[in-house]
Amino acid sequence: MGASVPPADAPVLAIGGAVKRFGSRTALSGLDLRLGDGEVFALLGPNGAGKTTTINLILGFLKADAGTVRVCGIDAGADPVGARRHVAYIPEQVALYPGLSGVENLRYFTTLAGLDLSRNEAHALLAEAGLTLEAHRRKAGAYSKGMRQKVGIAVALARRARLLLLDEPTSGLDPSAAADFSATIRAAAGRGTAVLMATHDLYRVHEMAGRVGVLSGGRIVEEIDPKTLDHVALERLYIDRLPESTA
Amino acid sequence: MKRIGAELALFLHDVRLRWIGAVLVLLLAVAGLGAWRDAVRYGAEVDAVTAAERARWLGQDAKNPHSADHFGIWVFKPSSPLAVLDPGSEPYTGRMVRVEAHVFNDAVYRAVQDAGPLARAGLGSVADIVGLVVPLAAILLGFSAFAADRERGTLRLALGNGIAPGRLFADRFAALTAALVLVIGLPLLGIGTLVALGRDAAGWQDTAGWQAWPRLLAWIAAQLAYAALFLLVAMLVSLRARTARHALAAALAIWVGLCIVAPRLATAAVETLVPAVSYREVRARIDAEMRPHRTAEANDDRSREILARYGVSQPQELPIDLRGLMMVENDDHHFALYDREFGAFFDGIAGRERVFAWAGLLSPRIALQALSQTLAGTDFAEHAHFVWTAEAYRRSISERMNTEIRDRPQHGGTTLVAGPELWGEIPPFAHTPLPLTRALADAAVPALVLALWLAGLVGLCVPLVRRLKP
Repeated sequence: MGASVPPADAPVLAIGGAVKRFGSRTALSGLDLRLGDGEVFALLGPNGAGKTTTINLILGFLKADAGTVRVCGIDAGADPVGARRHVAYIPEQVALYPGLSGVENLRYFTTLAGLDLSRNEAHALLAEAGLTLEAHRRKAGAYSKGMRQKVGIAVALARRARLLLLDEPTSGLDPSAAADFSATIRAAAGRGTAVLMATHDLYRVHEMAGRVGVLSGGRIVEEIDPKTLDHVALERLYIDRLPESTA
Repeated sequence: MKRIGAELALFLHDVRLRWIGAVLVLLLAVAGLGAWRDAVRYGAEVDAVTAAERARWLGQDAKNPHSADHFGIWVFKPSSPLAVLDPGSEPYTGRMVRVEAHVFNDAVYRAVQDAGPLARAGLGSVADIVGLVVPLAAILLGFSAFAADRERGTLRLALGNGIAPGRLFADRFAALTAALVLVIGLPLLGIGTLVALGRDAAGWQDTAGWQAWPRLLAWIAAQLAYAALFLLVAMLVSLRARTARHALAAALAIWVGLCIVAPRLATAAVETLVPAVSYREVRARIDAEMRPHRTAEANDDRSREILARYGVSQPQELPIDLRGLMMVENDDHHFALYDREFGAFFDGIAGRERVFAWAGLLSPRIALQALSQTLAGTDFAEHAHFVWTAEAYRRSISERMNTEIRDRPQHGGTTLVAGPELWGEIPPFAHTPLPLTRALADAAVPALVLALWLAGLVGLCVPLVRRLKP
């Protein structure tokens, strides 16, 4: 499988009619989504709506049963490694090597990704991600979820990828850490990074996202401009769109 | 290199590597240094006894040459320097032979008779440890390579951030192999160097022609290839297992299968498929064929035949000594018999060894055993070579003594008496091992089998790596 060359004018993310089934259960039933440079798209939906399945399709960890998933023009199903070169990803639970410090974890992951970060650059990235300096050299085994999340953000930022995937990025973060996180993501988008975040956090969605898609029944049932609503109205609308079983 | 360095640094944080390394180094050092001490002691004993035997031979009284032939002399097998690492068949086949008139003696002084409890447990030599314990160490190093990351969640972060699975696998394999080289290759090289330098200093190396250095390097490469093979097994399992515990359990089950069960089954299968004549049967056949040859009647028949051949009626009329000529011809008969029977016996064992090397396809431990002994110069081919060299030496003594009697006919009932000049004509026993080229040719099949194992495992890993999921 050779490395794919992305077409120059391809959108950062293009999902067309994606279907994914797990046995008799349909997780996605014709998902369509396009994302351009610098856009922040929030995928809203209850547990089991297909948010994580969507992310796994983009990362090539799963292959769509029908439809297409392209990252910068590269078919993520056919060439997942090629597609992932353009993606930075922060999972809901960022796991680190407990025996390594934050800075060692960051350098380990970035070295494996082919980057050559100096110690100073690693410290600067961790600081940019909001990790306090005294924590940089502490073993990650003693980190809180928020601190691990910040190392994950630093890994993602270091890659300067065109697409940033965030899976429930603020779950478990304290308000201050969540606010720092929002600022970091907005800054990344300001540099032209496209961001797709799967979340329940309507407050942060309202704060960060330029577009919001409500995922229900395996497809986006409504797309909203969050600037037209405050987060209370957004919550009302979101609950109204949920299937009865989950509302 | 940076990525491999990062992986190695990650492993060095793991206390497991330090424990495994310490235990392995300790085991290898204890076994290697113990064997080295035994080898030094054996070498000194061989030197002393060889000198004493030579002095005894040269200092024997004036006597009839045939009595001198029966006087006999002990000859010793010079042990391969690498026997310290892998004694191979040496402890079982004997290392000294008494050469004397008429008899093709067995080699005796089998080290296994003096073996301690560790050796009886199958862990006495460095090669035993590499064959059985090193795969365990490789498994303990490699089982968590992907399964623990999957379980912890670090694999998701790694793969989701552009790290190519193939590269990750290759880097981890390279880093773990480097760790194995550190904890296995270096101790082996250390012990091997001690052995080779010790032999060099003692002056055995060059004269014996063992070519210890190329043998040592090839031997270490074989052991590392074997360790890498089990590392691949562990990583292969780790690619699929959901948890590290599952990976460890599966890898250990494979270790039991490949290192304990399969070698026994394969050995039994080879013994069944390639039946070899037992040594007892060979001896019985030789005795049966010699018995009628040794009777007084047969002796009289041969006397008459010789007299007729020379056209005389009395032994005194012969230009040679009748008894001497009869001994020459008797020995020629025995030599032909030994060549046929023992030749077939040794050929049978060699044939079985060749099949056994192919049985390495069922277990890499078998392939390593065959390869290791061959490279170490402690395989059965080397033993057979010694046995035939000792036999050739015995024949050369018998032939010289017999021709002395044959060519100096004694008349009037007198007996020929020879002295130190004749004993001095017999050179000291010298044994040159099989050349390295022969060892390398013999090693080709087990080396190929080991390479096939490695290639097969890599072939199995490739699709799993491509489909690697967090």
